[in-house]
Amino acid sequence: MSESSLLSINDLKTYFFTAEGVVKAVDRVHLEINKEEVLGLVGESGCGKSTVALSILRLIRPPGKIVGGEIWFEGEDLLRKSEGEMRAIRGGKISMVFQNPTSSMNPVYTVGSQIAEAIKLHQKVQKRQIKEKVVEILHKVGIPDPSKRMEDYPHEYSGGMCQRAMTAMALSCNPKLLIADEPTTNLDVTIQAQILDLMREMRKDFGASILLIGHNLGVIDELCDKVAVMYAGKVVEYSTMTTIFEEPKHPYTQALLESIPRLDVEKERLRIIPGTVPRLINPPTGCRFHPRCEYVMAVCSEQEPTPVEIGQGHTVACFLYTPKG
Amino acid sequence: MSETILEVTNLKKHFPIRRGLLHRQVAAIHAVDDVSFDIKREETLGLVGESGCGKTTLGRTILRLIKADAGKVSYMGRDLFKLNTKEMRKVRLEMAMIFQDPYSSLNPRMTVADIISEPIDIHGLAKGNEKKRRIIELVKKVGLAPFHMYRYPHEFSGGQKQRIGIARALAGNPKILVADEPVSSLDVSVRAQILNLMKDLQKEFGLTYLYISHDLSAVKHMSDRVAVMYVGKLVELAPAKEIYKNPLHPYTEALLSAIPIPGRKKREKRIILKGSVPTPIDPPPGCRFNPRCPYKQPICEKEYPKFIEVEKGHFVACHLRK
Amino acid sequence: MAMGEPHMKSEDETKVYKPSMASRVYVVWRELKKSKLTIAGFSIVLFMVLIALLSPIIAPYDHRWQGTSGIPPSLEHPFGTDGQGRDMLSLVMHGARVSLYVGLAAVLMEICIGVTTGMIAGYFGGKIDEIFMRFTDLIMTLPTFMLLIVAVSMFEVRNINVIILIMGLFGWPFMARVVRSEFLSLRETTFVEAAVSMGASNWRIIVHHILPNTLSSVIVLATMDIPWYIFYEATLTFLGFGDPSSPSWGVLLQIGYYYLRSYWWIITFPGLALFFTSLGFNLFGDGLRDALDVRARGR
Repeated sequence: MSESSLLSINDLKTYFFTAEGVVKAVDRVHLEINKEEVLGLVGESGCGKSTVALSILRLIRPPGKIVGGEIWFEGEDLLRKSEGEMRAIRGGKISMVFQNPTSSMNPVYTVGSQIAEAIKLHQKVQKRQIKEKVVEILHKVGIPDPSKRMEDYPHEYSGGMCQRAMTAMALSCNPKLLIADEPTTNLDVTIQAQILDLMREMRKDFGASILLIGHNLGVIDELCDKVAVMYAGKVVEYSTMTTIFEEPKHPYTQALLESIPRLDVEKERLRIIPGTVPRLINPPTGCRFHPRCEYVMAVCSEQEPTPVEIGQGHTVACFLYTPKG
Repeated sequence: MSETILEVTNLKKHFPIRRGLLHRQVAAIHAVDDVSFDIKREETLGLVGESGCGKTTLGRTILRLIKADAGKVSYMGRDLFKLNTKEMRKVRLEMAMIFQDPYSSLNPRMTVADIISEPIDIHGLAKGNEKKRRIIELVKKVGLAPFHMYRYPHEFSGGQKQRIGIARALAGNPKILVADEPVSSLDVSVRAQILNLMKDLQKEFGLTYLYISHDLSAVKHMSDRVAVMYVGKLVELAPAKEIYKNPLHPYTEALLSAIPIPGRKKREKRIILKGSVPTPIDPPPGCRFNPRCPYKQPICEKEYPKFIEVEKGHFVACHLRK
Repeated sequence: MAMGEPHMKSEDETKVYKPSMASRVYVVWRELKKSKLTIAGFSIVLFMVLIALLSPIIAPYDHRWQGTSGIPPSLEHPFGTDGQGRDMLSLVMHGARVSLYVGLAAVLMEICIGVTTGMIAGYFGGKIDEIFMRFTDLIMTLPTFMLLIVAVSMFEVRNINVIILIMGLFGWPFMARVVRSEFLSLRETTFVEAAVSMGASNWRIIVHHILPNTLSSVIVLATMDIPWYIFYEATLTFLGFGDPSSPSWGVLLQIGYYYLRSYWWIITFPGLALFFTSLGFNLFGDGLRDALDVRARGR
């Protein structure tokens, strides 16, 4: 683990023990986020990316359980901490922004009071100073007329403004790591652009690292330095942003990139990925992508590929690149 | 083929906001305001816009699922609003709709066969073995297998449900299909399947599409021409390639620039609009985009610009582009 | 269990058979069997129905027969005899017949009137809804009790059918409300919108699309109401509105109450019968609702 590493996830396993069977939502995932770095976590619904986020903050509830691995943050393994210690970390050193901004806030409390609560929990601030801080932070995220708007309720905010307020709440205690789970998915495109812009600025101002989770590679590209692609509970590819677009190596990444309609590329037909995302109760044997892969080989259904570094910081989990023998 | 199949003229739909004991109207939501355009045979017209722009209301008003307040919709030369219930029912066979949410658009208590054959049943188009044959044909056309026929919707994935919805839309041999966000609820890797299917079916059956979506990339991929809506009005209409290369309306420009494109290396100067997307409640006179427009002029607040053809086939409503 | 797509296997299409009515009933039956509670409920209901149907044949004594009064439960009279010497076992059996008839008849009325009213009000909304609902409220607030007194005194009849009629004519509002609220919400679903877009008539949408989706609510309510009506009739008879010579469980309870101190068995056995019937219908109703729900079916 290098000096510049802020968060290091090793071999994380989070399973859900349901009546129908064990769902291996996150199965041996490795991830690293450095200080002041933005890592994108990309994948479709059900691939486990949100579960990774919740695992970091130890917010997994039964029937889910973190069954293995380590999550190193500032020299300590988060998985070994007590609930009390985790509570101090949540919203303080590590905070999270969720997908549905309006429903992530309590509708019966004003926005200002919710931000104030976060500040009170994590910082030793005098009562009168809290109000100032709230106004300051609302102003920072671009909410117009903050001293008035802090008295409003969440439903009086538009979607974009809610997301700004949530971001304000998440940043109010100067976290080292901000986890943003699909923060712009439900927003209009022009508002999405605003929020991404905001996050870029926040990153500069606060020097926080960001774990940005989403399924839109374009959005990820806007903000992230590095990206990890997840499929069916596993990380299949990991590299810098530019590399993933210039030289995607994993068949899933390649197919994904080619199946999305793009404004700048003319195509008669889009590349399709046959089949559907597998259910994780009985995932395919060996490589989980093999039933849909056009390069499938015999070994793919028998063994699981281990991630292999094929270039500068570029890792792929695929037998096309694993040296045989 | 450049023959017009559907013509919309000055279509208007306002939703009144009523308050008080007497339900007095205090304001109105201008969902669709004086919209005119046409769709040519076998073309795909894309209708794009953000939330609240009125595109969904427009689609439903055209199909007379919502009653318009004013204007005319002419299908194959017939004024749809003047048809009586019986005549309209027959026309509905030719104008089908594909819905956004595959989960709620299929009756959970009906089998796939019953769902697909509904247009056939309603209009008595076929019975018995002939009907069964047609259902099987449709099922295969959309990429499902005949043995799926007697299953229930909940046994299928989102993408498959959407296929069922498409089969149902095709059952009456429609000429024009209104697709309201057909792939927005689906997983990214499944969208391509449905979009390709729609294109194939269009070629095979000579269908005309009105493709409504907020996803400009998908719209551009599917459409021949694209119409952009903002707060109840059409602000731009042009061939798909044109819209991208040469957007004339400031909103279209901003919209295009806001869309994240993977791998776009040069972080070119982005147009970030201030403010939120406005609600269409009692909009002020003048251009509705003016509060957020980077090129605003005094006239933009006073007068609404006319929707005119500034280049061949390229329409804009903007004072700057006259 | 999602299926792969697009499906490439070619199947002989003539092999697709539409499931017949019989096989559909079989599937429901198979689902019902899955829950022990449901089977228990079904057995109880079946048992009671059989008793009711066969009582004239299998009851050891005619319900008017009178022997020695006040005999406690014994081999000859497993449920004892009542104050007039009638065999309790036979009375309870004959009573099953009357009480089940009451319950089913009243619920049938409730379903007919309640569902129709709720359906029309909920689907058409607006003024029609207002009119129907005000009418429903009126019926609900009418003092049924008073009406019964009036009816009984006016017509000088203490007939079980009059009681059923009154109960049914005034018991449907709740069902109407439930059905109405289901229709109000189902009317807004996308699949109904889809049906409209295909040119479906109002009739078709109501009967073909919405009604089947209200099935579960109606079933649950109906199965809960059957024992309720049996109780209600028992109460009314107990209070003197019914025909005291009929062996309905209500009458038996009334007699049993009178003899509570001396002959405890007179109230006990009809009471138990009532309790078990009620339990049976409730359990069976829940299970039936689940079995009919296509989505809940395991695979």
